[in-house]
Amino acid sequence: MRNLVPSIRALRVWQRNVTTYRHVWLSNVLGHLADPLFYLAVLGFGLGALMPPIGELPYMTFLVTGIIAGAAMSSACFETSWASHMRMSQRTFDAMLATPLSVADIAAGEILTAATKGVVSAAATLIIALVLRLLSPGWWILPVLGTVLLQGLFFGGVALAVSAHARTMEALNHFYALFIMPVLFVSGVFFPLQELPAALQVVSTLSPLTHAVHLIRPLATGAVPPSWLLELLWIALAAVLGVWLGCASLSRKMAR
Amino acid sequence: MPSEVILARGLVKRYGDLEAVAGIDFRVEQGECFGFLGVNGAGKTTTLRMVQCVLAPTAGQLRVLGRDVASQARQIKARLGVVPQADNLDPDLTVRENLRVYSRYFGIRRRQAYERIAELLRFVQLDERAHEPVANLSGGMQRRLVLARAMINSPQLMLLDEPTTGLDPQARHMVWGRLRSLRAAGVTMLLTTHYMEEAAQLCDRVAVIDAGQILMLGRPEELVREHVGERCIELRPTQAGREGLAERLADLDAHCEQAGDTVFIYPRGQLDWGAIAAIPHERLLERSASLEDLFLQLTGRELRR
Repeated sequence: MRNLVPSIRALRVWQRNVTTYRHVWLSNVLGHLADPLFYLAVLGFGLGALMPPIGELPYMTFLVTGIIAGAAMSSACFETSWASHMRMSQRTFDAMLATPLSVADIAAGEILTAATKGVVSAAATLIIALVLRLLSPGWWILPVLGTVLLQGLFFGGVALAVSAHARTMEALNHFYALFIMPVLFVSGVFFPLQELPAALQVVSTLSPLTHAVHLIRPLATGAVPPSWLLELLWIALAAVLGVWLGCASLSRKMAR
Repeated sequence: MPSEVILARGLVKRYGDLEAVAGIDFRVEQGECFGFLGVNGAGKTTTLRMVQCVLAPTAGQLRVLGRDVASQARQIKARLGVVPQADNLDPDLTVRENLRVYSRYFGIRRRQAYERIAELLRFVQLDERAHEPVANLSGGMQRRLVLARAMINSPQLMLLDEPTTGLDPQARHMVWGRLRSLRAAGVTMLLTTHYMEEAAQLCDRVAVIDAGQILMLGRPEELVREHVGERCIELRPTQAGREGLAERLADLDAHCEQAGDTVFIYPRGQLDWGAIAAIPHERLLERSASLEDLFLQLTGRELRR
């Protein structure tokens, strides 16, 4: 009953979410496209005109390679905070518990959905970048999406834990203000980390998003990421931690 | 293989200081319909949720389908059908998708699921609504869909938490009819209800539960005969009739209970009808004693705080 290790049945929960996604795919796809477009338009065309190239990258390219990971993080977080909370309050999880699914299966399925949404978001950003000729197509897209999937497990897990502890939907707004936005700003998505004050550099080093950006930016611009194995390891560890956190929090919540 | 489907010994569920289930013993036999009767908060749902393997017992033994709920929850849940108190259909899915998605949770293969779903939708008479979103269904239809969903895995044990609460009489009778045909097919059922008629219509045996304890357990008609008698007279006195009512009732060879503005009289021997009719009243009627009388006597007529 208190088993925290998910089984392969988590895929059934993921499949359920995909089934519902089919009913609302159009608004979802538009949402996934709108988010990165908004950042690119405002920061890229607005602020970007004033920015010098960063290293060897034009600011637009620097920005879009950050947004691939940043937008993916936001949509992963959105999925297991707001959307999971919604499913919790409409008793979808209660119904699932009356089947061979365990709480850990449900949590893992939700987190997997979050990571998938992250990948969809990243893919949408990639398409925009390719259409705008900011990046050129290649095999690098696969490891980039893999990185996004892995970081999505961490952020999806953390957001699920928050959602399980939040009593009301309003409480989730704090999660946006106190977690998603700060992480987005200290992880090297919009500007290089050297510009950050020392204290924030520490936070930045901890953030898995930082490491995802460290992998994605070189990959997308034709370079091998420096110390890629360490970066990858960090994200993978964070992913395990996130899944565990999500499973444990949802278990606590559903046992009442 | 023992014949009992559920075996509970000294079952306890505690939340902090609150003892929701205070050490109960019961067993449910193969093919039986067993009912828990009790007011809201008596511990019925808590007990049911422990049998369902979603709440861990604080103490005691609980075996379902020959397995232990703590260590073999998944195997037990694979053979259960659950109709919860509040409908928890998936509002993001259509009628048919609700069943298909659920069948996947049980690992039922596509082809087999298609046949089963078609059969179940006919059984609950929703085959013509298959492609509508569940929000379009009436309360009664949603309940029937929940019932169909609970049967997707051809369960050996059905758990029904107030299966017809909130339904109109027509919808209720339709659900009862379906449950009786399940029982006839040999499916074991455990249900909770606070509708005495429901218990009388469906249950082979009932347990009256109050404050987390079983007060009484047995066949409904035997319990009524033994503890209440055959007949009940309901008397609603006028204002004038209330004067000296207690003394007049004390003279009768009967057990009397008062609830709100009505007196319930359960005769022990020959009843002095003249004496009763002489009490000025708005309403006077005689009927067979029912489970409701037993229940009210046991759990007190006054509304709980």
